[in-house]
Amino acid sequence: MRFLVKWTKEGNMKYISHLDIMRLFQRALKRTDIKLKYSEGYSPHPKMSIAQPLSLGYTSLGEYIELETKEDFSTDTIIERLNSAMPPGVLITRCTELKENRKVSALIVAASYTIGLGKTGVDGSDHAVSENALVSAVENFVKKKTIPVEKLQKKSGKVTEVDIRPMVRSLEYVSEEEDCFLLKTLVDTGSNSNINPELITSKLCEYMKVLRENLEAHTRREEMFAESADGTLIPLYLLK
Amino acid sequence: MCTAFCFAGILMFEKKTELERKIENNVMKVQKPARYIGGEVNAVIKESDSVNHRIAFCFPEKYEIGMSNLGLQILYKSLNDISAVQCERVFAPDVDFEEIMRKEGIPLYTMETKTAVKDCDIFAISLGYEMLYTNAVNLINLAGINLKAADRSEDEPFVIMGGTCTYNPEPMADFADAVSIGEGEEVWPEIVAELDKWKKSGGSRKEFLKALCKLDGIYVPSFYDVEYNDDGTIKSFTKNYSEAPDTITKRIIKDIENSVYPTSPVVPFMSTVHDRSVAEIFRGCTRGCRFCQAGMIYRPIRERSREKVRKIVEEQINNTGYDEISLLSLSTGDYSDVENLVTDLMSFCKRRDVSLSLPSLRLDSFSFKVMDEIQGYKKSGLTFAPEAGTQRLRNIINKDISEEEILSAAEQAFELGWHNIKLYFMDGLPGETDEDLIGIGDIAEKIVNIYKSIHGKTGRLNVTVSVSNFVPKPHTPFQWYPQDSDEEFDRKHKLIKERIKPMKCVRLQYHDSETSFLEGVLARGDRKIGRVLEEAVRLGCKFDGWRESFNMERWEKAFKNTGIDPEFYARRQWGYDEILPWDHISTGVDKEFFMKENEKALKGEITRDCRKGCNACGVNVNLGIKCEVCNN
Repeated sequence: MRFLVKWTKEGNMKYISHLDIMRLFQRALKRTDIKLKYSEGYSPHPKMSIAQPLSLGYTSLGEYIELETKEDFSTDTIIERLNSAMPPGVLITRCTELKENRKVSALIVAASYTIGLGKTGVDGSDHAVSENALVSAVENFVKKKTIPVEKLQKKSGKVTEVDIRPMVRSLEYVSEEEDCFLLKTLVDTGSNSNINPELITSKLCEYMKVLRENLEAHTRREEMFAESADGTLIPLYLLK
Repeated sequence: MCTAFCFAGILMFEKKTELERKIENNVMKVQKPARYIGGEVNAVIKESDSVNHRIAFCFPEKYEIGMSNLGLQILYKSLNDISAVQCERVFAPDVDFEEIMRKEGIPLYTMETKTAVKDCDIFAISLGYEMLYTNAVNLINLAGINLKAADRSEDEPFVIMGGTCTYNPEPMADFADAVSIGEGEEVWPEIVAELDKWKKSGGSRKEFLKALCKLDGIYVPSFYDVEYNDDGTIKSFTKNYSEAPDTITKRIIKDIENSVYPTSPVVPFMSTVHDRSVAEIFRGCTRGCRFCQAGMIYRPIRERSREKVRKIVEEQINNTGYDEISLLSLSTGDYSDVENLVTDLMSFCKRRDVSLSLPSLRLDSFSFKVMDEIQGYKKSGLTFAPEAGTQRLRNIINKDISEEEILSAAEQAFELGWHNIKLYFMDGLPGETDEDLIGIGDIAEKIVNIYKSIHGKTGRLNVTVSVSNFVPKPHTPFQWYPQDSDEEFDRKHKLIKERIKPMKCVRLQYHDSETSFLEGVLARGDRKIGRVLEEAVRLGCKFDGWRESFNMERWEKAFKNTGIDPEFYARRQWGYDEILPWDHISTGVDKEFFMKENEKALKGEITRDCRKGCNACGVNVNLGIKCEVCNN
């Protein structure tokens, strides 16, 4: 049976890398006696894949993993068993059975994020960000047609220029909280077009004339979306 | 769209202590942040209201090394089984994070609750090997605790050391308030009981130490004074507190079957050196190799039953989800019921889809059958440890393995389809001649020829010859020997290299002579070495076990600045009549036994395996324990 499992990555789990998360799931599955199917070949590996690995340091309420089990389980059993074996910070929130034989993670086109910007600087100064400055920085960002950003190509080591504006589908100021300001954004995610929200945060810092290194920022992925035939976004957990 | 943001109201900035905030703001700047955050599966975190005693338990190496240490996991369980105790793990931050910690004022902290070590009651440090000494000293400093026990104020934690190296506690004596000698499972709860009593009594720091030294196996260095002769040897070792014991005898678990064992060990997120479930099947070794410290200090042999091992393995797999099990002991093949144990475990592993790793099996047909079945068509490698190149030298070191056994094992291995063989040897052994070193190459050559005679060519054959430099260790028959000089080691390496060079499929690995020299100095060091360690740490020595961080020049400077001659410790023939720095520590094996064994070595006489008859090492009498193999 194939399952799509939605899970959260919070607290200190944000420091756990993609590979380590894979291992965490493998061990949790073993502990709870859910056997996975293995691929064929000389070096078989369990059929399991995490959709769109999250950047190290981000939390998430909308992570996904696809599993293919040897035996049949109800979706509730998968949720229950995995939750009994996960450390604090990882919570399984949904599980759906995938009927169609396709890799769901390949369908992802967008992801929503909440970005929290700290009021106090990393150095302890309390002037890091003001509400007015942030609101106008967001306005400034949104009304721009193009926002070129220099990007280091990991493989070649070359610096290329990328226009990030078309990849940011929306960006809004949400609210002021006790110790931070919240923003929400919806951005391109997936193999066709992909942007790390850190680029937005850095750009806003530039507009606000705030040093990025001195700004405490927390980024949380909220949800990932696929696109329906008519172009509307569907949260991944609604796919079958 | 609304589903996407319905959680946005949740505060993203959790309430944190100042220390937690500092860690959070810096940990992403370094390599492998997962080393520094804790929160792993099976980590024990108690409600702070229920905790009376906080113990920071440190393995002074990087997280991935420390987490692979079974001793730490055993004592973690032993202490956390006490409801009022929170035992928390501490490891050495890597160089990049330490630099930030010092700059940002982040003190050494615990993994579980991110408590500063200096706010704990006890800072326990496990010393598994000599090259950790500088890390240990550096970490006391990073914790913000006074380096020397004598300088510590009433409100600082007690620094208590333990582990294999403390069988000679003297080099670290200045830094330790107390030292736990031997196996810690039972003594730690006793230490906690004393801590509880002492806290309630409101007594002074010294009063706690006075209570501690009355526990079996606890050594309080400050209760003893050392005087030296003009030549640097020890003149006297006297106690200054009359109630302290004259000799500190190691603690030992008499009932291993029912002793505490971690069946829910902490499972790291990141990959570690030994990333698997571990079942210790027995302690001790009966072979009596004369160079081997482990074979002497862990006596006598104590086995867990097959049923118990099986239960441990099953519980560990259920609780950790590991996909590999390894058996731990000094020599798996010597387990009295090894065939049934292995057969049993193999069927368990097959059922649970777990792989089994069996280190140090004997070279018999059963082992080959097992290894063949375990490794299947993906055969990795086989390891043999002849230790010396000729029978004469193997007799001297009492390594009971013949050339015929090695060669016939290699033949079987090749016939079953193995292509990789690793051979362990030592150089610089007592009584060694160049012929013995050439003998190393001879064995390798014979193995190559056997392969050729089976396969017609060398083809896929890969022989690795690993040579380690002999370091005389305390509490062994060879504890009085001088260690070879760097030049002599280098010459020997060259000699072996030249003999092996024409064989294309044989690869030589050897250890760096400088590291071995330092290991030798620290292993047999006395209290004066404490000054050197302090200076070496001040000069920046740490992670000495890592080639990339070991810096001999700094060490040379440390010796020079303190006026201590390292050659005195490593390269001198020590006398039978002199007071050894570790003479006040008893492993249960008589010093006379070591002398007798040394004399036999000189004559090339072997001593039988204890399983074939008692050799009267004294351990059963001195420790009041019945030896399971000789029944004395």
